[in-house]
Amino acid sequence: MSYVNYIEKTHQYYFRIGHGSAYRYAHNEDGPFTALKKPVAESRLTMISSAGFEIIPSDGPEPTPFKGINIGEKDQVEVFPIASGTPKEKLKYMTGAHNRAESDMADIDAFFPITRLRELHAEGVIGGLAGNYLRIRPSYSTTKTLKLDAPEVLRRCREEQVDVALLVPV
Amino acid sequence: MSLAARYLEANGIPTVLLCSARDITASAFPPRALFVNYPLGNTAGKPFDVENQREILMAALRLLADAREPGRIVDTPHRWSDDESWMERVYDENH
Repeated sequence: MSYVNYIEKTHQYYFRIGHGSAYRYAHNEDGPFTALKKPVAESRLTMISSAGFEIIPSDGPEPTPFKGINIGEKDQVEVFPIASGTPKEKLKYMTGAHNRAESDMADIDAFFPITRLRELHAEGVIGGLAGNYLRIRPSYSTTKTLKLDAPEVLRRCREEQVDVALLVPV
Repeated sequence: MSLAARYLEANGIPTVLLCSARDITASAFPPRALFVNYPLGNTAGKPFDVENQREILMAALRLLADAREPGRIVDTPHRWSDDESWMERVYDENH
């Protein structure tokens, strides 16, 4: 199977637009593992997304655009809840980062499958859904992710008594 | 996102990650990942293709239950298009 070499392509891209040093992607040779404690059909699931979308208010102005990727290292937690019962029509993708010919981002379920998860829960495939899913603002800083955002994600998962997590980068 | 998955997993919460950038994901070594070979922005399936989105989620849930060791990346068989020419356009000057 052939697939896009994003690491090489991003290095070339940043070089082309004048960034001298290549971004260093996270690299690990091993990692943690936790087996399921009970079947998925009995587990409470949360979804975590890095997509830049906002909730459209029922009245008032349109939401302000998502700020995109956090380039610098900031001491600010950027984890935002989104009710799992939110109708997809209330969600709007707000950044242009992936507005390419192949991805117009018009269908929220293609990158934040909020409707599909409700269906699978209704069918009994998934035992339960967290009251709130989570959105993380993408960051170039692994330190920020690990010291600030990830602990907040864990705290919220525990608060919601989540058993398993589905992560969907955009 | 792989780093957040690793953090949750290290703290006792099993995770599965959908991904469309296989090399970036493999480098980070998340606990479980399902590779969907689509342009970025469609990690959970083709837009407005309910059946395709379902298949991807079901595959992710199977991986969540079946994996026995960390770092497993399962490749889905789905193709974005017959000729796969979209891959050539990634980070193209015009995109």
